[in-house]
Amino acid sequence: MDEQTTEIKIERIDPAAAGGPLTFAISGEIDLAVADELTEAIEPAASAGSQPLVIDLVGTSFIDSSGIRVLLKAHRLLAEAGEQCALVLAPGSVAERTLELTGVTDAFPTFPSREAAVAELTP
Amino acid sequence: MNVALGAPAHARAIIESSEDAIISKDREALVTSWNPAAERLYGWKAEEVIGRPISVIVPEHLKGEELEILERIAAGERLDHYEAERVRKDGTPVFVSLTVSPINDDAGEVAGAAVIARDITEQRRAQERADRLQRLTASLAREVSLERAANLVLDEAMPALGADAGAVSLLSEDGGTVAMMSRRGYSKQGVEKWQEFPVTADVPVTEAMREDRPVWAGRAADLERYRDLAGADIKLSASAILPLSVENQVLGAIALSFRDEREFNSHERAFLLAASQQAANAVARARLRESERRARDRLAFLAQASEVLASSLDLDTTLRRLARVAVPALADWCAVHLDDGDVIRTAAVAHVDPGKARLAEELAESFPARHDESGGVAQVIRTGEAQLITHVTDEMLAAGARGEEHLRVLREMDFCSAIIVPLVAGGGTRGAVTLVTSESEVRFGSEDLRFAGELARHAGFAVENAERFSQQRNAAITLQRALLPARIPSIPGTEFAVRYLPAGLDAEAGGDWYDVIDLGDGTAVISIGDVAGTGIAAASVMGRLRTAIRAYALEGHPPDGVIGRLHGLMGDFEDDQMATIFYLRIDPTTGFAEYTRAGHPPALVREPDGTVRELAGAGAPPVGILRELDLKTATTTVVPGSLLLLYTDGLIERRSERLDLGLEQLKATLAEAPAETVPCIDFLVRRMAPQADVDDVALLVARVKGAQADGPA
Repeated sequence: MDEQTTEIKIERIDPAAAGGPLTFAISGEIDLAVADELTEAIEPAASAGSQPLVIDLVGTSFIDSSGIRVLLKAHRLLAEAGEQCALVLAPGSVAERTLELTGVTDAFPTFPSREAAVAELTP
Repeated sequence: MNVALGAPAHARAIIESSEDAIISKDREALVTSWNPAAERLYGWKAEEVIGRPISVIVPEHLKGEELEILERIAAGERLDHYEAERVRKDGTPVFVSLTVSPINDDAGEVAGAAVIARDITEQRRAQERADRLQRLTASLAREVSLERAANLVLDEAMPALGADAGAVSLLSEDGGTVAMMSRRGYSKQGVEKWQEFPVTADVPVTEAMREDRPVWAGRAADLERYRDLAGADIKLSASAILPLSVENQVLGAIALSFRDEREFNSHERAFLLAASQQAANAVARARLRESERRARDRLAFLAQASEVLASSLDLDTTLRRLARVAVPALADWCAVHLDDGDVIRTAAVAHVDPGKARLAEELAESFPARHDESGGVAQVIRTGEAQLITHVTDEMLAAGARGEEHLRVLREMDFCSAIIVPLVAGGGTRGAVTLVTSESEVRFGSEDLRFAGELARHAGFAVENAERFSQQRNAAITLQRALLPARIPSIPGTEFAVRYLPAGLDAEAGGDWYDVIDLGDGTAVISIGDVAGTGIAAASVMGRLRTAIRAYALEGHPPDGVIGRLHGLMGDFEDDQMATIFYLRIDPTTGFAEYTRAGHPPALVREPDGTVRELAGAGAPPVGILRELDLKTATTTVVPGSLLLLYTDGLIERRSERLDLGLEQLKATLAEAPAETVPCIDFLVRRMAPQADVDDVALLVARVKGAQADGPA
């Protein structure tokens, strides 16, 4: 098997309104090769627990168990701080179907668009 | 009459004793007088030539020029030091400087001409040699290759001395062998054995090199004393050999050969010494450039090679990349052989020419290296000693060939030079790296041998790493296997088949499992799962989880109770570990089943009528990591005669493809599968597994026979 080069783009969008959620928009393929990068981006914000988190996976074309682990970890850290973590999933996308099949969507509030998620998580 | 018309006695005496040829001719250009010097110069006696046209000494291509001279003389003009080519009675050319004066008759009319001719042949030759030397110096001053330098010196030196054959040979850098660089005029069979020979051979060329002085062999007898010349090229009877040396270091020699015996006069010797000095300087410069270029290439190559060798942990991939990177940087052809015990396996072949690459592969397939061969790769593997063959001769090919066809392919490969170095790994010789030149006609030297050894050492480390990795991987797979149930318990009314498929070569073993537990109350638990991560760590977590599931199952908890307890246990003991599980408890007599799903894709049921459905209820995220897991239990009835399929996601996961497409494909495949468990699972593996080589796969097929199957079979 030849080397696969996996690249993701992680965009951080600070809350527009006070008390609103911090958003991370992730595009590309999430696998073991980029899991650490993703963890480094999301975990500090999740463990601070000072605001809700929206993880936007609309641009995510693939996600495997190492990506799922990062999502679950963020969920746990925020839950410990009493904050929510929501997912944005494009309906019918690979990411949505994968997370549904693996039961991950059962643990998160999910939204079809970032705007809907942000509106829901803004007090 | 032998003197000029009507000359007085004293003038006659002067003419008779003159060193210059003095000739007179009449208006019709007939010779009227011819002195003894003219006889010596042209070879014609006075009595042979007087009364004949002067044109007997004019070469054919200059007849027109002679007519022009006559016209100018007839007009009363006088020619001073006119240089012209004339021809002797024996046909050889002679260069003369002519002074031609009109002879007037009493009436003052031009009655003829007096010609004084001086032989300037030697002067001409000296001039020609000076011109040639200058031309040679100028062309060698430019940046030229070794071969071009050799050709240039032959271009000028051979005609300057009228040589019939010539060659430039170079001494190898270790001073042991002489290789012919360029040659002219020698017969093909005459030079074949002199393409390359040891410096110890007793021939004039090696004598000139060994003693760093010219050898002037003007007579055939001079050549007889060289023992190794016997039968060489008998047509040549004189030779001049000049060493090419710079600051007392001999680089090679120029040899000129002549069909006839001859003297080498001081002018000729001086010319050849000067020409050979120029050539020696050019050779030294070309060698320096060559070695600088090679050093540069090698640094770049080693940097590239170490990168390439570190880029894969798969042995064959590593060796294939090694061969590809060696061509054309080091050789036109590279082959890597591994000693696999009984056979010597060709692990990689690369050739600069794609057509030849196929030929090289054909050669490796049809005539693989064998342990029982005396030379070549087998010998290097046996002895662990490197081999350098500076020049591969046809005799070597014939000696090594295993028959006509083998010899034909070997010849077609057009070998020039070869190096075979042992591939040492883990303290033993594991194989050999062969480098061959053909098209480029590069001759390997001792420096190349050292470098190839260096490269082979790098490759040896890569082989060790790949093998260590492969052992680790095997250890992980072994552990994985050990942690899976050694056998599936027999449970009345059910039949099971299980498979565990390790991932492709580049991936590590993972933490997939399957398990069947007899609860002792007529019901059975089937679990399948996948611990995230790879290697020994994931495999050992898998072992602990499987044991815990077994314990909780035997306590009699419902599925969500078992997995919920497992999740709690993981929170305590398995920091940040995550696993997906499908857990199902079934009563085979009724087909009633309860199940729960944590992060795991649905199990499949094939009904007796062939329809396939998903057990997609009771979904929850994977166990581990989350603080709380909201698990559920779903129920279903698996009617007797159904097939139940549990699997891990490696079977359906495709990169950049929706997981449910893989699931749909699996459902379609299961619909077509045979009804018996073992043929069914083999069918699924055959159809689904080839696409799933990046992840481990565990799968389990259960056939529920129902109560009626418990009767006599």
